[in-house]
Amino acid sequence: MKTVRKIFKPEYFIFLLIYLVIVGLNKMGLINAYLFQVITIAGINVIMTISLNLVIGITGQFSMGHAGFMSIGAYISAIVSRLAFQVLERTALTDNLILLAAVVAGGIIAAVFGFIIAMPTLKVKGDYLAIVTLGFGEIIRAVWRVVDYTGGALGFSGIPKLTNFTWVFIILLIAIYASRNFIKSSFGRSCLAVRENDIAAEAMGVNCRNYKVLAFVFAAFMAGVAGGLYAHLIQFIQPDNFSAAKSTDYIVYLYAGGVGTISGSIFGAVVLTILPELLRFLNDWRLVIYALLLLYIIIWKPYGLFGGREFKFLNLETIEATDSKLRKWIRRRLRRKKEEAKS
Amino acid sequence: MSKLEAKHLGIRFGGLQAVKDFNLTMESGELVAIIGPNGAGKTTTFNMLTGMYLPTEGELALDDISMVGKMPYEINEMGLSRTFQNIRLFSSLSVMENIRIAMKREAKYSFFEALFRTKKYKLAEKQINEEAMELLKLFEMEDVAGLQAKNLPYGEQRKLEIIRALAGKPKILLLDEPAAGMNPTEIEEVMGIIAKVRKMYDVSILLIEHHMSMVMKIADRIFVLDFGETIAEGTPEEIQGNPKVIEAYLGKGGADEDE
Repeated sequence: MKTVRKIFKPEYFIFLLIYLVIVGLNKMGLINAYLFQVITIAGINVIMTISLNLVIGITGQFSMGHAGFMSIGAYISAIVSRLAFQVLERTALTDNLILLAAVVAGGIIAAVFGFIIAMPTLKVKGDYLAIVTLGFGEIIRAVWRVVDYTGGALGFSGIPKLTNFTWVFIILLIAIYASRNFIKSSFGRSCLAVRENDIAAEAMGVNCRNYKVLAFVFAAFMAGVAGGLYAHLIQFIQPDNFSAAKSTDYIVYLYAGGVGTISGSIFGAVVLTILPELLRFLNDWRLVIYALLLLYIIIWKPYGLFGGREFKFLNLETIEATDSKLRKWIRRRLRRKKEEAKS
Repeated sequence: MSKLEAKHLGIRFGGLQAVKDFNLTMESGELVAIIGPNGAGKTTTFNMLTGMYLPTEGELALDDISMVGKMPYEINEMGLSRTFQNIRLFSSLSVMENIRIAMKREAKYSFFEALFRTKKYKLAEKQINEEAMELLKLFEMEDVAGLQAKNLPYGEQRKLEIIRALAGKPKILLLDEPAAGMNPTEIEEVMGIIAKVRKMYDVSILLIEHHMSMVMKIADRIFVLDFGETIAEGTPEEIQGNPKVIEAYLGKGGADEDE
């Protein structure tokens, strides 16, 4: 019974349930095609936010060019699928295989760029790093504007629709699993150490530079994969889709949900992607509500909507409200000291 | 058996010679203390030993392997571990996590083994957790394993820094003012911890401290630094009677007034 429980943790069925509910409601017509598309995009945004969390939340390196990595993934994967379908016919099987290949290729190329960019830029810290990464994002965008093969500034059109909700959901689960495992390993811990205190980390045998690069590359891979999914969902990409504003969106999702936590990344991205769409009936007022929500978070929920907590199934250590625990411990210690003094 | 050796070690910041001609040979299991007035160059010496500053003169070697020009993390891997004068914990992480970070050398698995949670990963992590917990138990901190480091009382934070430095199984432990800002009872406790460390681990300790009562009690040998120069070296008894030391601390004529 114990092993059965170990393999089929009830928590995992929540995912299956969420998936079935969303797909079921869509089939029944309760979620229309438009909202279904929005939910799928929310899934991609969650992958992006989880990826950004690795850089900003875990390693503490403020990066403002994350959409740049996404654009590399999007363009490269679109090129791969275009080339592939020049040779292959479109069937259900090739569709899925080529999506997988294209997305992984996009991720790998994005990771390579992540490595190339991380090596020089990670010498700078804080505000300077933010500016350098912002510049990187803009450079990538400028480069796509002049590449004729991908349509230049007019955009890359005619990308086959290969992404569906199922794919996004599967890759999203893998992203959650991988980043959870990363955080719980020695690699993630070293990144946390870099965030907390780089001098102490270095003195404890953590090669700060290597771990910064590792986090950057890993996050760039994930962002590239998300970009690939995005390209094959929207079927049209243009350089301006991946502007600094897009990068800022992801930072907002991350901080609104709760920086440093996976659960916060998921929550922030889902809420802030779907909410503006649900508020569309308010016309321009939705932007006001969106801004008010952000203000509310900044002022009353500085640790994000999720408040630095994690979903239980992730099995991550979180910073609990430790005050009561601490008081109890101090009381016990004082008592022990008193007893020692008596005897 | 490990031997730390510094020969004619010195550093110059522009026109200021912060440390000059520092010679130290430390044998296994020894406890050596460095004392001296403020600004004498004690912490600068520590920073040179741990690779945070690059010495401009002299030689530095651990077990005959040169340490000059190595990065701090490389020196830590060689077996030197330190604490800081102003506490530098990973403050928003838990006590346990602080220890686990320092035990990263035990984590002998690759990046992908960690991502997919292979057997090797699980075994290594289990061992890390057990060892970290054992270490905390040894120093009676197991109750606070889950607390954020910054929520600990000051004295416990200092203690955690020492434990964290020990977790990497160093050959040489460098303690930078472990009793700074503590009251006499707490100092007693720190001395107890240091004694425990010496008893339980095969480690040499290099210590900077201002509390003379403590230094005189626990040190095997003492170095006295003043304006970057080593003005005296010897056992606590020798140092106590050394007129140069008294002069450094009390000024010229101080020794006479004492009589």
